[in-house]
Amino acid sequence: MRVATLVDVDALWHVALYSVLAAVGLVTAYGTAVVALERGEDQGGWRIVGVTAVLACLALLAVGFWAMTQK
Amino acid sequence: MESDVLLVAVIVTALAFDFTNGFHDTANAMATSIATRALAPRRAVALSAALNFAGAFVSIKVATTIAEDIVDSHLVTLEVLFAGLVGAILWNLATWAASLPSSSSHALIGGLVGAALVSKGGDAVKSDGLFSEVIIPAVLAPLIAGAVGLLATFVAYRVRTRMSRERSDSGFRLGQLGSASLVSLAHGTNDAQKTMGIIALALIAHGSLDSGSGIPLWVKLAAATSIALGTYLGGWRIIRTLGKKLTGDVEPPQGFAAESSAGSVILASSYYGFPLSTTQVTSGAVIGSGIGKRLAEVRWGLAGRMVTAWLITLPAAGVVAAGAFELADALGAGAGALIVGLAGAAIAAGMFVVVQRRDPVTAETV
Repeated sequence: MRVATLVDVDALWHVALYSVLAAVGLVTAYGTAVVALERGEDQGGWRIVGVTAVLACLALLAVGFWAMTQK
Repeated sequence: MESDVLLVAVIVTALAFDFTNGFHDTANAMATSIATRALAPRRAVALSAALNFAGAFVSIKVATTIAEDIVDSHLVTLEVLFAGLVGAILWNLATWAASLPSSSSHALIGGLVGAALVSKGGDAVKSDGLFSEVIIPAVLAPLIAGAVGLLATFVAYRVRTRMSRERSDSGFRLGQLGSASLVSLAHGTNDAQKTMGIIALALIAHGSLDSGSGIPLWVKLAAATSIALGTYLGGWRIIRTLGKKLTGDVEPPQGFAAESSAGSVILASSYYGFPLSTTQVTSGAVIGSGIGKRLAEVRWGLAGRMVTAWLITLPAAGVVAAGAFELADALGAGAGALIVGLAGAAIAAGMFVVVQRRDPVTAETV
């Protein structure tokens, strides 16, 4: 019994890749939103960055919820 | 009449398992949020309970994988289901008593395999399914989640250097509300579905439900309510292990990164049909976040005990289930199930009382 025949290597690869992208993406986007919230009080340009980062977080959460309904 | 008694015993036991599943796995979503004080303990378990309840209705596909891919579904009888559930419940309580996060799903699978083996022999167990659906994913889950948690935590602390400590802590605490909620919802979709599948199988085996006719609403409501009540009770001992003992004091960026990583891995694996244990994913993400945070401490001795518990979950639940099956069978199907069920409930209650008296962990002391 070979391990390769028992594991869906293609699915495993996709799980690893998309997990990294989603987790790192969410942390980066959310962290940037918090930075923008702090700096936006002094510099207006950060507000655009903040809004973009919040939208990116919401998009990632929407993808997560959609994935949940696809099981 | 005898099969009616057995059916009721299976349904009650399945709901009891669902309750212990919620109780055991509250930590998966909420341990780091409680540790960072993003949420007060009671509020955390109430939120998690509500989301587990809602999650049970998000996906309408029933998780019958356990009974179809691991054991031959044609050989699954009410007696096998009952004994499997008894083994899973008692193992869940044993790991709770030891404050160790272990997979409720693996306990259920181990229980079913053990009961099926003594009932029908080796032909009843699908070894390919057992390896591909359980054993190999069990090895990979903590590794994948650990790597993702490490990277996400590293990034979180890089981002944190660009803001004040106060803003970072308050911002990431707020973010943990979202990340913990996502994990709770995902847990509800995964685990409540398993109990629904078990009850549906029992109804089909009894002849009360046609195969392929879907899950009755009362089954969905009962399973969702049971997992929500168990979650609300809060498995404080395991919450303390995951949130405070495994990596020392968890900080908000670390907690947010661990929860985001666990949620991402759970959802990605669900979408691609790669069955990973929620508990192992969460534990792996917490360990990964401990490594990813500079100067953080991972208590490897405790991590080793957790891995040992994961390794023996399948055989241990299987042995208990096999014993429960033999005992119930010897006493007669209906009466045997009642006696074994009552004995199991007495053991569970005794274990709960003794452990809480010896080393009480509550919402106030977690």
